[in-house]
Amino acid sequence: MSRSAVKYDRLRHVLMFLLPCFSGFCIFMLFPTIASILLSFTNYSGGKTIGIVYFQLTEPSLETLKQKGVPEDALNGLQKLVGKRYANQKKFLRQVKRRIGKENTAEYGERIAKQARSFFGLQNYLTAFKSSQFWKAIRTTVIFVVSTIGLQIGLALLLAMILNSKIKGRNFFRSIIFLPVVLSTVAISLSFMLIFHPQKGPANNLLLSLGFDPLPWLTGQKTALLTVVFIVLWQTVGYYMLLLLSGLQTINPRLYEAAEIDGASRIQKFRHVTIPMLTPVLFLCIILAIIRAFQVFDQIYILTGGEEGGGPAGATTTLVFDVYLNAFNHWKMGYASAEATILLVIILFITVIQYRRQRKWVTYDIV
Amino acid sequence: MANQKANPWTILGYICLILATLVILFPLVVIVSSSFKDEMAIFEYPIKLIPRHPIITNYLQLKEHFPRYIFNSFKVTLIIVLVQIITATTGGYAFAKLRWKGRDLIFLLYIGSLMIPIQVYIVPQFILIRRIGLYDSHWALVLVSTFTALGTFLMRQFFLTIPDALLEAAKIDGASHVQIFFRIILPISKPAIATQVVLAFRWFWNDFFSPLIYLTSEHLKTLPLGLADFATEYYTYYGPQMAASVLAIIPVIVVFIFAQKYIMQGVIASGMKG
Repeated sequence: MSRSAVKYDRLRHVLMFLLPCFSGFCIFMLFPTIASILLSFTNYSGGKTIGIVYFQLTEPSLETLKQKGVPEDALNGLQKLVGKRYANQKKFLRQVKRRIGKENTAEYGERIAKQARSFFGLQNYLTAFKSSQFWKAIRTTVIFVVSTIGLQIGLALLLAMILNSKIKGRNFFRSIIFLPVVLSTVAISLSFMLIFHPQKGPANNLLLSLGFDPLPWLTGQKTALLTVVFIVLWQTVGYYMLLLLSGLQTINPRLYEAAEIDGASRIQKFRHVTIPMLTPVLFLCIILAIIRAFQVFDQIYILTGGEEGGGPAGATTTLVFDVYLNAFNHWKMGYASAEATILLVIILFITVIQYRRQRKWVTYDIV
Repeated sequence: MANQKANPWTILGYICLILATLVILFPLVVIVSSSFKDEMAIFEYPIKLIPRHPIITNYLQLKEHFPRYIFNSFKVTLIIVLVQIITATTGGYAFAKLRWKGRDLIFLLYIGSLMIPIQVYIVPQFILIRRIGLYDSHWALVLVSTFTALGTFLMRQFFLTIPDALLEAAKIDGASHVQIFFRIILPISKPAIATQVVLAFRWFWNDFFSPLIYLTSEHLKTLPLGLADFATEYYTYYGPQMAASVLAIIPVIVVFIFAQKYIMQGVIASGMKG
């Protein structure tokens, strides 16, 4: 059939079927994602107004005001406001009035405000890039994501390989290993808080009985993040195991027979048949694992300190957690949106890079 | 295959699997057994997996709030699952069986949306929900979950396997799209719908983030949120926490036992074709 011969369905029919899901998608996801980018250029703090400007006097702006005829005594009063930032004109002028008196404000207020007004623009991004807390969150996120996906994929592949061999009770083991995936992250996190209790938990009892020193686990600056990684692994390895297992099962057994005829060893078969044939699924798992590792929130919230949280000295504050803290705890929604936008850019960037690079290592000509 | 039995690789495999099983089951056993212990017995060393003097006082402490939380969780989860089935099947039909301009582009947008974390767009979504006056209501949770990119995708993939010839035949007999959808598509899609039901149930029963953002009233909290707040309040009392955790875990385990096939199929299908 040539392209021009395609007959389109009536718009009425299409909309009837499409709108129930597409309207929700636009209103609650697409539009908010775009709005989040826009919001990152403001200083929105949860109130009724969204400020795209702020008011701040600087030394040069005082100089300009002097030239515009603002008297010396008023300028001296304004000196105290230099460097201080106000969200809107009303607040700013109230301060101005306090410094230079009612009459001067009535006379010069407009001019001063106009001079002090600046667009918010990239301020949130600049604040973020200058903030040590932001870079710490980025560092924590990188450590968390890299260690999580490496172990996830490694362990999942190992278990999938074992389950793909002729072994008794395959279905039983598969179900058990997959089981944690469906369970409540909150409930599971609570049980691990008990297990990793810093004084008397079973994990430390085990260490003691093996002759090791007890660890502070979730309460230690160095151990908190890795403990969270372990708990996340516990809940997610089964997911990737299942995907990889079903990938292994689609590999044509004749390829192994052919390799055996050529005298390939177990390791050679793994290296030259299994891995190349598994690369499409492996690629998918890596992409999913990266995206999900960036999103981990529940465990961090529950395990390391709730709404105040983020672990000892912020040891487990990842980027998504920092977004949450800034938006819903400190009400710095503009700043949180800037962080969210940075997160979006990072994820898009990684995905695009991965898709580009896949051509080099993913085998798509499946026999 | 006879020599497979003595193979060291196979033995190593069994060791790995048994180790994995122990690591996975241990916390679950701890939750259940601790829920029947007093605080002293919970941290007893060495740990007793079967409580010597089982007590039910931990469960009695949950009497006040948890029936409400459980009811809320069932209510919200069931409404969302129902709404999502409607939007996912109709949307899947539009993407799989209707022809319209821009279909593939919008579908790509849908798939792309799967990789965006909720934290990226939660702030504007929150502002929107608050502006329309639905903050601190169950409607907020339902509304933000009306669409499911994953569900729509799963349905589309399933509908694509239904031969067009079947629909063409119905059209020749004068059936409209609505009739085709209800009389032909839905009846043969029961397995796909079942998969979507269990996946959505599992997701929203466990969902913590949206309730955390949108609910503050005590009487509205769902189970995961109620559980988290309860744990903050009684943070030194592990017995009641574990009892509450048992309540959160049991419904999903029951669903898992009976609908395992659908869950695993759904996970594989949603992963594989991305």
